[in-house]
Amino acid sequence: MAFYDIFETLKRELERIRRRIEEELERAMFTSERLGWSPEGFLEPLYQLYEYPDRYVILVDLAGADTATLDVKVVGDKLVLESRLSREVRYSDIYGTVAGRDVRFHAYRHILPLPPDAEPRNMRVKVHRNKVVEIIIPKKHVVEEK
Amino acid sequence: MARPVYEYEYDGLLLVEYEEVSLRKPSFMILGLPDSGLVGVIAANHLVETLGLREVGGIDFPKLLPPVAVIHRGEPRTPIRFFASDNLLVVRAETPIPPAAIVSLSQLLIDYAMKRGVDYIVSIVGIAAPNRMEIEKPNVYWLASDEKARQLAEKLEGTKLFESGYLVGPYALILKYAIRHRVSNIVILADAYIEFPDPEAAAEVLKALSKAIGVEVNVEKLLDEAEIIRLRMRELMKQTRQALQEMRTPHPMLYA
Repeated sequence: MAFYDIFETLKRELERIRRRIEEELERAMFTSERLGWSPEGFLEPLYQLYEYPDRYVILVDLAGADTATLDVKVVGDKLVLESRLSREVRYSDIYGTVAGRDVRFHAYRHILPLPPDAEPRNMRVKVHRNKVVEIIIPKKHVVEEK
Repeated sequence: MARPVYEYEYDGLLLVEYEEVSLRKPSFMILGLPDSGLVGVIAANHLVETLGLREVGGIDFPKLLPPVAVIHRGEPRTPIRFFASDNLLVVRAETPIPPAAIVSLSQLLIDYAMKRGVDYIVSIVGIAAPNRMEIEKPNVYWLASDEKARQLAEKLEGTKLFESGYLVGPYALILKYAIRHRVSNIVILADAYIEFPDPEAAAEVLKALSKAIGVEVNVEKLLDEAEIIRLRMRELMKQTRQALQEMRTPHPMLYA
């Protein structure tokens, strides 16, 4: 009986790993489609999400942006960030290729999903020198305790 | 593509020279490999552009990189490119170094430096500064592999010894191999954004380095064009972040 249990557990574990690999592969294939820009003239900024015990911090690099036009808003469970560029930038200026010469970028635009325990109502946005933007979003439970 | 005058294969890596490289003494091999803030790559780029260095060779990883050729001025180039003039040999990577190639690449670079009689290998490194946003002027630090390197490092203006911390990736191995093979290696480290390209950090490194190597480097242009450089470096930065992640996180299976 014990032997049978071990085999069952192993079988289940192998099945779980197989599913996980499939999921990861699917996800990898999906994300590899991301270009970082759109033909309508939007660039996706470089960003990084950090998690602290009481908050999330998103750092965004808005090089070349006119940060006075920065708009960060929450739509449903997503964060929408937009900012115009100080001047239009051509695809070839960024990617150093003669291809895509008709594509011009005029703004940054990015939509990112918020973690489920983020409390965006108390969100703060700081624009640092160098046009690095810091978006601080508290976590839900911390806000409730206060 | 310029036909190589010299080819050298090492552990799946292919080093080529398009012309014979001979450098005036004291000679410097300056390494611009991608890491935090792409400080080395940006600094190397700036040296190549402002000093008008000639492309003289490079390194290819035919088995380790995806089958892609970088085309420049109508010719395919190697993913790691060598530029030279007078006493400088600048090594600049166009892609992140595949983790599987790091050991061989570090050995190959040290070996090549010895073959070409390079006096100093200069590694330009970004150190991840968590509070980089608040830092107006990034600090610059140094490490030296031997006494000769230390003497040069002490000439770097406005810099301090990097007393503790860690190096990750090819620069870490290059320093260790340099010590083993008695090659002088100075590592110049600047506070940098972990996640974003950092031309300001590169400018600080170049300011410090310029006197020590006896070459006037104007960083005005680098600072003026900082924003467009950051835009151009987005893709490489994204790929580098992924590669660094792989290097920092040992594969869990290793410990299973």
